[in-house]
Amino acid sequence: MMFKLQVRLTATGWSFLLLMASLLLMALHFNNNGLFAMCFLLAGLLLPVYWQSRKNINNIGFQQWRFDRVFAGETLEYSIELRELAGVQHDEITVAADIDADSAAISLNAVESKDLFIRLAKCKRGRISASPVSLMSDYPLGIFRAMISLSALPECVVYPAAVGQQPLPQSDHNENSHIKAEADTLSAIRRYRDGDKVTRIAWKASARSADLMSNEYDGAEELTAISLDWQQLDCEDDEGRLSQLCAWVLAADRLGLEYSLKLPNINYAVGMGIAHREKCLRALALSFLASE
Amino acid sequence: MRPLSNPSSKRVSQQNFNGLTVLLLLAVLPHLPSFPLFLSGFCVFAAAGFLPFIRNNKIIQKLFTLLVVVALLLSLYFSFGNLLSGDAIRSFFIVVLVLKWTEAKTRRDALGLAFASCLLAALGVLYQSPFWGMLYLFVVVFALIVVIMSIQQVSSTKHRLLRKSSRLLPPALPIMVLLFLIFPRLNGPLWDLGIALGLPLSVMLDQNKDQRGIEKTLKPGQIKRIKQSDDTVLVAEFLAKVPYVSRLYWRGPVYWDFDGQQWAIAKDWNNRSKLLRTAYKSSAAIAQQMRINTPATEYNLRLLAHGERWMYALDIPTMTAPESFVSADFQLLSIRKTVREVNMRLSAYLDYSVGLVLSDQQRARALAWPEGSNPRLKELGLELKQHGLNSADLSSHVLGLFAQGDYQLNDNALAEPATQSLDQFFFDSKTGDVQQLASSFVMLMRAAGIPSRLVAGYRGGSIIALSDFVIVKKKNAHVWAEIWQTAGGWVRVEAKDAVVKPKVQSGAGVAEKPKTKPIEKIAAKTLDQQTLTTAPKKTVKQAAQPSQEADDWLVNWQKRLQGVFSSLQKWVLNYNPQRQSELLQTEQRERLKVSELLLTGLLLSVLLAACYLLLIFCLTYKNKDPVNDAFEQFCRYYAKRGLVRASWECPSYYATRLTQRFPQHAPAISTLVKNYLDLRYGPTERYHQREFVRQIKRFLAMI
Repeated sequence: MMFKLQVRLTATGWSFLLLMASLLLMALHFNNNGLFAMCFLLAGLLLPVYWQSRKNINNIGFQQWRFDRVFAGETLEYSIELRELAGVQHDEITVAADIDADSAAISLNAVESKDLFIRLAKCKRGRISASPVSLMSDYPLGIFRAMISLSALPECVVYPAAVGQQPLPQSDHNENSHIKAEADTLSAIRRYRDGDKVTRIAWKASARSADLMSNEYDGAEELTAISLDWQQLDCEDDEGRLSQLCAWVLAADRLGLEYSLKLPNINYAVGMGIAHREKCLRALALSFLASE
Repeated sequence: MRPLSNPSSKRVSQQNFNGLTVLLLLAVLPHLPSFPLFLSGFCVFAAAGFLPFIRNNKIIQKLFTLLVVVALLLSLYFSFGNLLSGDAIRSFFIVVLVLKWTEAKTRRDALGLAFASCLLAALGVLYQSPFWGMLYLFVVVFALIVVIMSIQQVSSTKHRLLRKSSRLLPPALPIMVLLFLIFPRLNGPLWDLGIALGLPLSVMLDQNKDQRGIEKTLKPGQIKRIKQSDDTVLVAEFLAKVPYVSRLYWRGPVYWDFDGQQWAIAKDWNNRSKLLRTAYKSSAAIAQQMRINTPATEYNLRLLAHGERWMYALDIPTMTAPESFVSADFQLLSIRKTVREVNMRLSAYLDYSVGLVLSDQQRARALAWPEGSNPRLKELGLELKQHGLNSADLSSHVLGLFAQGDYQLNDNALAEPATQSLDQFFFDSKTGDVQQLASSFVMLMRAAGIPSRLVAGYRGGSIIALSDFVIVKKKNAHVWAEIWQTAGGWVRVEAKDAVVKPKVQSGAGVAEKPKTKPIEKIAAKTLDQQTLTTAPKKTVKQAAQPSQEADDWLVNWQKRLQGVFSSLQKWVLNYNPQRQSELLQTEQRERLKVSELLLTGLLLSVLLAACYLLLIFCLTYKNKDPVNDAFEQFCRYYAKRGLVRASWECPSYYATRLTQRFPQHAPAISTLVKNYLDLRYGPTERYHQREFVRQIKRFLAMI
């Protein structure tokens, strides 16, 4: 990525030059010193304008882009924190990128930090690939456009809209859950498995060995996990099914249940927790897409 | 990459709109006085498009626009007669701008409108005095900046906009002055330049065919009529220095015969064989006829077709060109009429006394006086004859009469074709055109017994700046007298210069002053006497005024103000190519060359750039922290000795590294680093900062 500051002429700049040229021609033709003065004043303006447009975009520090998870149909909002470094005011700063989004220009006062937002309205399910972004400003007259590269917009996956009428499926006895109803006595200490509760981790035992260990209690009864299966859905279209599955994943996660996810081409085993949820949501987001 | 913007920011806000309205009004203002009244009405009518019910409905708006444009075109057609005339186009432009104003909604519309208003304002300046025009344009530029800025910035307040706009202007001013002074100036109009460079513009510019040039007969007021035209007659490129343009006489027909009203050349003049019989066919033959030796001036002549035989070569041609010859009257004549553009290389003697003999027949023609015309002039001539003066003294005496007689040249004066028109001009009205002036001079000389004749042609021309081209137009049309000296030889006498003082040309590129002939010297003397008699009175008057003023202070200020205004006049309002070459050259030997101008421009720009850089450096330097600077110096010293301080390295850690390597410096290093840390991270005062800087300096000097 290039961090160099670029300044180039905008369309307004070209028309400004055109204005100057026509004034010069008029001045030469009519031998009018007033017109010469006007033309040269406009020409002289180019220098301070150029200088100011450079200064306006320079010396701004920035962090990485941040964004929240987003479901189809919602607005994806990227934000980046800009920090003023030079002790001067910066006006009308905005961003340029090759995406279909909008963003409001902001002004930075001396030694101020502010967030700059890029909003993508009505996102579609799927992957929004990473794209380079520049900080830019047409300040002060729009004759020059100064640009400097920012950190690129990160890749983002838009999950299916979490809607659906079907109730959460009942527990499936074929699937075994890691979660067990608690009993009183500790029966064994075994190696940690995905889905074990954090409170069950045997910290002392873990400290002695290289692996993480979990406590196992006696008399614990296995709960059954629920299975979120593509085949169970009575929806007709794929998007509707994906939306329903997404709603189920979120609901199960909220209820603290373990769940497995079965899609025509993907089969995730029972699990729970943030990583499992994200894995499932991601799979839902990217299923049946031409680009994948 | 394209900017991501709010859709709403593409629209013009109310605040921008107010600025735009002010700019448009400002631009229309100078046009109002020269504007027919109905057009102002049109503007108001077009402005009605701003009413919400028109503005917010696309169809109504389109219909309204169509209505206004059609009505406008019709009324322009009926009032100006020609839709392509300058005034019609200007009026159309104004009304269209007003229409555009009513429908402007986006930023792009607003920007276009702002730029167009600027052009309109620039056009308006042509109708104003230079001083007010310039002032007005500054206001327009400022308004333009404010408007563009407000269009670009949605969020700024009015106060902030004005402040920011006014901050942009001062750094632009030096560049403006520099460009104003050194930008190569050309004498417009631009198509002159095109004609000089040989572009076939004369064809495109459709010269008025019905306006005729100089003809075989010279009717009263004819020169005056020719002068009203702006058509180009010829372009000359001088191979060496360009002489003073007032010394350039482009010789046309030579008139011998006067019938009391109009001058004519001989009826059978156009007979080619007769012309050729008396013509001078070689430059040696012409040189033989010259009575004084002057250097010849060489030039290339490009004569546009005018349908007559004479080629308006510079007075007196020294040689012939292909398909041409020099007649007995020393005009360069073409073998056939010039119906096509002609290019030739020629040379001329600018000062001359030419002709060895005057035959009796010629003498009679050059002394002829039409029966019964202008009796008073004849009487005066006869009276002068009795003094027995020679031709030179006589002509200077007559020129003196002109100079002292308060004669005025006025091309607007009516020249009625009357038999006694010269009498009336010379004795009564004393106001007339150059034709009457030269005619009365010739006739007066004839009456006094000096053979004389009238020559028509063009005098002067305009130099195209930065080139050796002189362009001669019909407005340079002129007539002058030639008299036969008592000792022999025709010389030119310029009666106009006795009446109107020739303009002093500065730096037009001639090193040596033209040698004044005896006649002109005497004429100049009479002129001097005249100015001597009148001038002192004026100075006395001027001197008396200040003494009457009691308040010296006020007078001083007035004088100073006058000084400022006159220099403003000289360097700003009337700045021109001549002034430019004056400014950029101490020696005025040669005319300014483009390359020199560019070189000077480059040098000055570099100088200016250096000034700006220095300014920027000073501005940024002030922001630097002296403590940091001093500490960096300290670090640099040790970096040279192999201990580079890493950017993450804490000064105290660096200090320990230093003391390990340079134990002999240990006490100084620990004190300095401690002080530095105190200053950077503890409570500080300015005094300590300076003390610290001094300590570092002392330390670095000692080791």
